[in-house]
Amino acid sequence: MNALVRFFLSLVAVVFIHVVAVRFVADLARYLDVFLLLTAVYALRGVPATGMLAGTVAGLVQDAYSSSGIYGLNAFAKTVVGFLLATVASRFVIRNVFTRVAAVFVAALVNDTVILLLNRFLGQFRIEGESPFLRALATALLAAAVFELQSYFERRRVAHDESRLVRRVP
Amino acid sequence: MLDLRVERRANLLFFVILVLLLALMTAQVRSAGERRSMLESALLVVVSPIARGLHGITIRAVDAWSGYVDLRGVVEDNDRLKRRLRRLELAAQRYYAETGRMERIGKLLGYRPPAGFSALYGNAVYLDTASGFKTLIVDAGGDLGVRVNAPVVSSSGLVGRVVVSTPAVSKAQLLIDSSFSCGALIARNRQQGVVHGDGKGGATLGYIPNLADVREGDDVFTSGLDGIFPGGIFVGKVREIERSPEELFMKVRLEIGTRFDHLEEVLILRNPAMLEAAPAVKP
Repeated sequence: MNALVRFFLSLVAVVFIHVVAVRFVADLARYLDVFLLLTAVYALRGVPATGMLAGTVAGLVQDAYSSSGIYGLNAFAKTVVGFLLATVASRFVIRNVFTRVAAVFVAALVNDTVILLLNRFLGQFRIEGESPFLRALATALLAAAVFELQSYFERRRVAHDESRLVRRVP
Repeated sequence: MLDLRVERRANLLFFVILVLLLALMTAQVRSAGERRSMLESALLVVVSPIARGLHGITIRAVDAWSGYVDLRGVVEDNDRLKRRLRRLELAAQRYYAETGRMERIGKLLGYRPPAGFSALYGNAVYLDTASGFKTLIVDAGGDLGVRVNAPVVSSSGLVGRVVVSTPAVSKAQLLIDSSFSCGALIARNRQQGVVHGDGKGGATLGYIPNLADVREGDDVFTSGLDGIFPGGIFVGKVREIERSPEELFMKVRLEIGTRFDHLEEVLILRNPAMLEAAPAVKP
């Protein structure tokens, strides 16, 4: 499947999860930033352009769901996070689940810090909600599950490819 | 060499995006939040069908799931009777739910809009009061004459104002949002002030002088002086008053009339003068 189509399908899934979380478990939505998770998944591929564009688009969609304040705030923060995370991933090997989860945790903290600084800079309104640490922790925990699932499907795909290769060899 | 060029391009793109986003944000700051971007409206057109679709799907899914759960484990010999009983129970639940809904709609329809305004009924298809930004998406948009800044009310009082209007849906800023404000007055003595959302599910009434006669339980209504909200919409009651000798104004906390966690139907107030002033965004 085309990478762009896959990204938009992931984005639709993320919006769906966000809307469901808000509707049924309002508190859960306060602790989780699923849009950040999507940005992190794409940024960890190690291509800065991909990471930052994923962050921009995810952030813009997230901003469309928030009513007030400044449009583009989340997009800005997630662009920065996507770019930084992808740059780090292109220089260091971030492959096992633990380091990827730790990267998401740090990315969530950076995301909240950028939003806080932008608010101060633009002097418009204050941000309420849970502590950034708790939100980063919850997002990182969800990331652990997502990365486990991702690596499970990756392993299955590799095994499938290998078995096809073996069958072809006489 | 090629890697270096790709990296430079990525860095350049990064800075271009940041500058564009910063320009987008500062433009909104300079226009004091009155001018919402076309990009925001366009994206809302794209993402709102998910919320609208989910509104219908969840109702059907909950019905289907409760039907499945209710009928599981029914003993065979009284299966028919139990199923009939369940059907009647479900019908009764639906009847009570519908009765409640009809009562709410009746109250809304009984609402008399202020002079010069007409009321438009809408369903709340997405309501987020938990996160930092308090959002309400209503399934009525520009095609029905909803325009930016249109006041949104419920049967129990002020809800907020429309900040983005697309042809099919509109997005409202809730009264409890930290950047919400509107002109208000205390009904008993006509003392004027400004209502601000506190971002934590409540609101405060600001700019009330320390010497003013304000009592707990006083009713607060919109004053109509802000040019957006017509006067006479119930906002809430005074819950707590805090006077400090060092301050010019007292702190007045309000108990808001609208219960946002039970908000399902709303009325959007349309003003013909506003229709001409702010055309709806077409995607």
